[in-house]
Amino acid sequence: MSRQIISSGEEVVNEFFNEVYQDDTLDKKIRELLYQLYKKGKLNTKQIRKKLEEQRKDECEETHE
Amino acid sequence: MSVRKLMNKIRKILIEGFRGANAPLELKFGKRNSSMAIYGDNGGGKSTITDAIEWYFADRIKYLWKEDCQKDCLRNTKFPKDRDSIVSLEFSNAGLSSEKTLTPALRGRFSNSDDTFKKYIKQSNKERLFLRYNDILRFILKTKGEKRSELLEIIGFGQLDETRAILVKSCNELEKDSRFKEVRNRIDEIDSYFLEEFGEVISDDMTLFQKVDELLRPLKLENKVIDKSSYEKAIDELKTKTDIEKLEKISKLSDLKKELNKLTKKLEKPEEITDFLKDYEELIKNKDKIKKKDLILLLEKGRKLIEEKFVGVNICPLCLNRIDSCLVIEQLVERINELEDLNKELQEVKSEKTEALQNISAIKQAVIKSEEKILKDDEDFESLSEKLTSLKQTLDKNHSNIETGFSKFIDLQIDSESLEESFNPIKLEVTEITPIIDKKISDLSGDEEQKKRYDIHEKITYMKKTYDDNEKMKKELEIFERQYKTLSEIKERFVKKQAKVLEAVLNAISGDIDVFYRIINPQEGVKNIRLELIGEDGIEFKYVFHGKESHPPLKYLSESHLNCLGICLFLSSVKLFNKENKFLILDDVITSFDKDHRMPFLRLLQEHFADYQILLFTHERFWYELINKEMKEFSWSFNDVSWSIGDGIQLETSVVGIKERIQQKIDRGELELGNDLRKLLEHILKDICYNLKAKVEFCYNDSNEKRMSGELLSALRSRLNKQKCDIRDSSAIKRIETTKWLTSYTSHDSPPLESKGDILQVRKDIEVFENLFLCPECNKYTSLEYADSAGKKVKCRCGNKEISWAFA
Repeated sequence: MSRQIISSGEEVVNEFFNEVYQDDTLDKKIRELLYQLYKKGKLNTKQIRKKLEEQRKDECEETHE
Repeated sequence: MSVRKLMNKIRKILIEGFRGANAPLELKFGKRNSSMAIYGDNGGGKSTITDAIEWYFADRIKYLWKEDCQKDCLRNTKFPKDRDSIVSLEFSNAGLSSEKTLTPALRGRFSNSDDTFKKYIKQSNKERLFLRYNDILRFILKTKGEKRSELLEIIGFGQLDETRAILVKSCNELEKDSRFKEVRNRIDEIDSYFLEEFGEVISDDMTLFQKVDELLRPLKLENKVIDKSSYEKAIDELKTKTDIEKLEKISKLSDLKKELNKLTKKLEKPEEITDFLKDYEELIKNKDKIKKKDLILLLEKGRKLIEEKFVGVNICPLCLNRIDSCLVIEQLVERINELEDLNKELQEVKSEKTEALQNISAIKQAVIKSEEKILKDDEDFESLSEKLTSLKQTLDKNHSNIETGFSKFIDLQIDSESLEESFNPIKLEVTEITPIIDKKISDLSGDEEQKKRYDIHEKITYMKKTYDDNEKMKKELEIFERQYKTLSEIKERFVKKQAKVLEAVLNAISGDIDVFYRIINPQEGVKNIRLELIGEDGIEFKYVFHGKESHPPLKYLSESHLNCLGICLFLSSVKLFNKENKFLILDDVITSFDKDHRMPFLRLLQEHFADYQILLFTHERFWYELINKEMKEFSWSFNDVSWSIGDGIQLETSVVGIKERIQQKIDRGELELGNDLRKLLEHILKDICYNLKAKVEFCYNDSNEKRMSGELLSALRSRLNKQKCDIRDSSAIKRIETTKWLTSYTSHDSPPLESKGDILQVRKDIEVFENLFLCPECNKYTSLEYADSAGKKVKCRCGNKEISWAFA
């Protein structure tokens, strides 16, 4: 029976966020935001909500200045 | 060149003062790290070995932790209270060997503090190293959702589920963000306003200033509006020619008109609230169904207690009556699945409730804004004020009723039709008051020229403010949509990736399970067993049962076959996921196997786990001897364990493989062989007596197994005499009397047989005696099973060995 290498959950998630980070077809700010949170071990719903809100606020202010 | 990592095997286990072990218990596996079968009676302490290894790696023993006794039960109660208990494991990779002590204060500590060792322990903790009898069915009897969660945990994919949950929740939160919704609604309102007032949506500065210029043109102002600067100059010019106080009043009245207009539009959509009311009414029609929701916890707990045989095998933990556990668990799983569906329905209505409450709040806000714009001390607005206040109270009451009623799943005391009707008075009032507001604005505007100027000023100011608002909203919406689109895309990609890797794992594991199951159960009607994803949240075993696709396993498989499936799942997991360790422990797992499936199971171990080190525990003597016959050529070793109050669990020399051990000791010049020779003689006598049906006194269970050679020899001689067997007077039988005495004498704390010559003679006497009954061809004893009554003979299986036998 042929055996195959099964990646660990951590390896799969790592690979996923690296792929996302390098994918130019996705919005840069969001992929960077998620990548940074993941790398810092802070990828959770509360942090994502907070960072998205900050991002909206900053962008709105930039536009109206 | 890549170097293949050598996986770890156990070289020695030492347990002292831990669980059932008081005095040191040492298991040595030799330089070849061979596999080992261990026999011990029920309650003989075999599981102490599994417990020790589990605690060594995980720092806990799962089944004990569940029972809430935890660390208190780790130390042996007879062990000195001031000494540390010890579990020591030596491995083939010496750098990973360590002693783990458990202090009297129940603190565990490894002697090996190397980082590599710490990583090894962390990884080993994720591996499948042992299977206990009680855990075999646990996975199979779980619901499809639990199976998914547990499998993800087993294969270390728990992090995938966590990440998926975070991304899904974040996406849902963003989609339902109240600000997101508010921004979209506001933009729609503004677009409608522009379309209604100016015939087109004003979406850029140029169109805005063009429209302003068009509005100002009849006033023939000096400033033409083409950009922001000229716009401000034109407005200043307009203001200098206008009565400000009047203008403010007019502005307020205009605002009131607009707010009332907005309020009316919101009231025109009662379905945003009544849809929830209707679905809720439908849901609580069957109150019993709602009440059952809370049963899910009880059913889950009940199922777990039955699975764990909390109060005994096939006994209901609630009423203590006898039950068919498999059937009850099957029914419980069905009910749990049904209640989980009901729970989903409840969640949907709950989500509708949140939206309904948001809509009520939005109407209330529109009421408050309208109230703020009403001119003070103007009796024309008294009726409007009263109706707004009344509507506000109705909204508050409904809000509160929904919150309270929903939390208790009782009637909300709100009728959809009445709710719609409660909106009518204010709608009627707005219709009546609008012309009055228009007239007041008209009166305040004075002469036609002034009026025209006020109208235009008002219109332009409102248009500009609305346009600015719209630009901000559009920007915010664009950011929201970009965030949502990207986050959704990332979430979708993750879900697909997770499904892909999980499917790959399931395929790999399913292939093994199917092969293993069919080795143990050849030529049976179950084929193509595999684990498959069921929807997004479940995993289930599927199989072809006599040509028909079926699931779940409980539907058609017997308890023995379910156990077999559980063992196959464990073995597949070992093959697929264990990366550090090449050993596994099977703790009394074969007990529920049909006898027909035991040999195939050993063949499975020979064929697919030959390179693994296996520790196999059993309390069945017959099974143990079968393992010996099948596995000794694969270098397995065999040990018996027994338990006493003083020493706890201890190793005993096993009768299985005893001939080989005696020869090895003789070769090494060891003279302490009395005990081994006694055991050998007892073992041979038992087999001969069994085959010739020599009668002995009745004894219960273990006492039957512990008969001494004197009793057995006496029974055999009596049987041979009765049947006038020609070997009854042979010298070999007479000599064995002396041998019996000699081995018994020397094995009970007496001096050993004094010379190698004596030992060889005793062994030869036993051999000659055994050969009276044992066939050298088929290696089987003469047995009444092969009786030849016509020829007055009793033969061995192949017929080459025979003894005379006078049949009655």
